[in-house]
Amino acid sequence: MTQNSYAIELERVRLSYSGEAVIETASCTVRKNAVTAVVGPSGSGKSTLLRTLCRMNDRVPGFQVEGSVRVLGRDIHDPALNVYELRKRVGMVFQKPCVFPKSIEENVIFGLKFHDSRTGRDFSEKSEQALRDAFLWDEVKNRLGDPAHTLSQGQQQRLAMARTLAVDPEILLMDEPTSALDPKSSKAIEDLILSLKDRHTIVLVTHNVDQAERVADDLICVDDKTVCHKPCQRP
Amino acid sequence: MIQHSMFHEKGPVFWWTGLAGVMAAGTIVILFASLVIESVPVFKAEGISFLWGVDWFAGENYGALPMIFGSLAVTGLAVVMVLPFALASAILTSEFLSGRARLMVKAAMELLAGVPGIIYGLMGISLLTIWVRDVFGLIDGNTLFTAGLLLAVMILPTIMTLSEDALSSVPGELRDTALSLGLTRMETVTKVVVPQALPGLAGAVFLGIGRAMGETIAVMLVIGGIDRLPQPWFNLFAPGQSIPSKIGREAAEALGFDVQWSALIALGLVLFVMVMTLTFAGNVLLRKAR
Repeated sequence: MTQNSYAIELERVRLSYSGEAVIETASCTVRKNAVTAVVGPSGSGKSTLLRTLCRMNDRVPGFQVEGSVRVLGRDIHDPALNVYELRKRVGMVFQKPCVFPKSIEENVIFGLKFHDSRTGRDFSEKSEQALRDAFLWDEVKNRLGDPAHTLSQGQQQRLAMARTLAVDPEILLMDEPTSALDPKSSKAIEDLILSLKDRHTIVLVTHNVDQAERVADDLICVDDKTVCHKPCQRP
Repeated sequence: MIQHSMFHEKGPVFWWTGLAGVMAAGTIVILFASLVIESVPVFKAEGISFLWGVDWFAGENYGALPMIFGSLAVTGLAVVMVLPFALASAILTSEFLSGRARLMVKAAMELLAGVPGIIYGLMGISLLTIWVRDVFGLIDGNTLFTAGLLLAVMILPTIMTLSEDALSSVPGELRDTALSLGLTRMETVTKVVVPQALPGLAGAVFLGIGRAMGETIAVMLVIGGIDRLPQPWFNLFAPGQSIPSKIGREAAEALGFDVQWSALIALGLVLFVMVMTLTFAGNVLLRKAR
């Protein structure tokens, strides 16, 4: 496979907090337009690994990355790299659904607004598309002006996805997006993940091995401070 | 269906907390009632024009406007001067400093917030009045402006630490979410953290205003102590008087002389109502902002 078919390449990456290694060595790749699940016991550093990919841990005191982390062909610790541009291309959805205390529609266009600051621009089309992509449109189309916290947890998580999708990232990082949800909402998110991989590269952290096998094309195992590829059982 | 009457089967905890609650509420009611009752003589003598009368000559006539104006002017001035500094330093501390530096700043600010008013007052007369006199070329540095400036310094730590608390209690997930969408740190602060912390920030400001309005001794030492409206009214480099400084200056000598005493109590009532109105307005605004 040529280098270009990888969205993310890690080479001898060591992640540590104040000198204490969370991940001793990680060398792995993530294919483009595929769903890659990161599995492993809790506390094994899955989330830390994921957050490293869009440099969300920059502000964490004592956090250090060694080795080479290449995302979309670029070393993300290159001083010339614009970290905000990186985060625009590498979106992240967190474990707990997190909505801003604003209306549903304002939540969807929240990130978009900052990247397209032309005044008087109408975002309704984009927001509709993002909500449709997140399978949420039919449930909220008549109440776009309602406060986002009136939605159920499962809907809030899909709203968070819509908000990230609206920015149109190439890579979507998801940190246990279904762990706070009921089975029905989890199923909706899983369907959503499968529908998104045509256009996006998805990295999904999960502690649920069944879920990983249902949705993932590739598996990455994090255990005992090492990260390795694992042959996927899925046919 | 089981129905309980309101007081049925309440334990001792209910009665103790209930008693404490009634005492707290009762104190406010008694305080307010005694202020009203004791102010009656001056309103009998001066009528309602006590509130906008501009002259105060003990034993002759009593007009409260210079003191009301003085209180509003020094408080307003203090808030306007302190807000940019307090909010900026709160944002810096909460959003940009490392954990240890943040704790050090907080500890220093909390110490400063506890410094008694008289200490600030002494600093005021020994330093501030002289600086104000020299910098602005005045004959005397005891002015409304000096009092406002001193109050600004006094309420800075209070507003700053409380604002910082409000900002740092905004959940980290909101910051992470905003950053993950590609917002810069400054955009995250202005568009997510500050709006989310707004109720707490407003609370901090209102608490600061409350302290500024009630501050007696420090203001008394630097305000000039003249019961007159400045000429023209916006000339804050003139000496003036605030409600607490007036009461503080005259209470001892007026005790027992009934109209003058009643006039001072009435000033207290005005201050009480002003602070209550502010608090109430603050709450209404906050509810609207949400």
